[in-house]
Amino acid sequence: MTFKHYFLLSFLGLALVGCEQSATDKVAPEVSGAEIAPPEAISPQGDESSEAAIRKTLAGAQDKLRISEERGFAWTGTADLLEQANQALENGELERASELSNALSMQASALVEQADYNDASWPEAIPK
Amino acid sequence: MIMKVKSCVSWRSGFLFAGILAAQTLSALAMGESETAAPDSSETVPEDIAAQVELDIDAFQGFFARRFPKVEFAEYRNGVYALDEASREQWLEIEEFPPYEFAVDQGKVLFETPFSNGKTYADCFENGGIGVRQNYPVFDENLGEVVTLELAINHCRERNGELPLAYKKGDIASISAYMASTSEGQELNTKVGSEAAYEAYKQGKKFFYSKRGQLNFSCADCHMQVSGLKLRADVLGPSLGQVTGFPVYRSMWTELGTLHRRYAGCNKNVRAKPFAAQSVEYRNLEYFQSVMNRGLNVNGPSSRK
Repeated sequence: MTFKHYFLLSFLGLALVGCEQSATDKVAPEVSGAEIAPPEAISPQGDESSEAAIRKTLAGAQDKLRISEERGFAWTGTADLLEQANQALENGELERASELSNALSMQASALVEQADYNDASWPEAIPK
Repeated sequence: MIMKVKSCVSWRSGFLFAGILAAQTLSALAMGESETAAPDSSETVPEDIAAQVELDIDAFQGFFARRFPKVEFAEYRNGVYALDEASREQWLEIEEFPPYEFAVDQGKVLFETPFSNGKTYADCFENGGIGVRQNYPVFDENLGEVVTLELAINHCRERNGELPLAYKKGDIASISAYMASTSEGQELNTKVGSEAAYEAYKQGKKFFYSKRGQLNFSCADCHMQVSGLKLRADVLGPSLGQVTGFPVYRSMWTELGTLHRRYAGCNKNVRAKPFAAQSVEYRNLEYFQSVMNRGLNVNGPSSRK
């Protein structure tokens, strides 16, 4: 077991624990993968400040996506997620837009981490 | 109700992560053409580069020798069919009436058909393009980049006033298949002949071992670490021997396709946005893989599931 696998095990544990909580606790953040609330997660209030916050989250995520892609790392689902988030925003569905933008932000952060990890540690993947 | 749905989504994601974790833990435990072809500058390669490449080849091929001690080196050119007896039997039956045969015939016609200026592909390639597949990909010192056979075909077209062909399938796959068929049995002979070539090789190597996509898998994860094991119903093929049989007729495609088409499919499978066929990234990857496959015989075109 490498450090990576201990990290993933810990992550899985958190994901499953959080999953149980999400069924009963509306305040608890969504869990696992794209649904984990990023640090800049926002709670829509249905007003202009919420919309601005969502747009800020989306812009930040887009920056990260662009940088990651320039480094050679992009995922297949992010473009759809971005489109859906923008669509929800246009339709005034702030709660849905917030969820999607948070998910996108999470994925964008994970992409940056993936690029960082590979830049630093790809030789570790060479079988000994 | 909303929370119920969200909870299900969370559980689904949890299981997805569990699947990925299991697979990755398992893997850890399982531990040119005449005008463009670069001159063979292997004699001027710095010793440390040549030595490093040789070490890489030894380590790469040694990995498979240890992992599959009963599989002879030459057999790896048959891809997954070197490992899985049941699949091999089916494959051999398919190869009795090769589904790519028509494409090879069509490729021969295309290869011999003169361009509008009267020249043909044969004018662009060493030895008239016959029996040269094993020399590709090649690092072109003048261009400063890796040139694959498909890229060389399009370079030839463009120099003769023709439009380039699409890279994943169709005519280019047919021409490539015909040219490969004339190299049957020739040993892959991809060289790393300069500092610049070594840079391209290293980029290809990094690509091969880098984890990509939302599923966080590298080429090596599937085609080294868990090669020979099953992914759902299919046995994962070894990376050693992957490039020798291309272009291939895939039953899934119901047509011939190029190696870069397959790369893109692989990337999509791990939810990574694929690069364009003949992008620098994929050419470097092909270059690295071909160096690692040194010594295996060309047997393209071939058929795969």
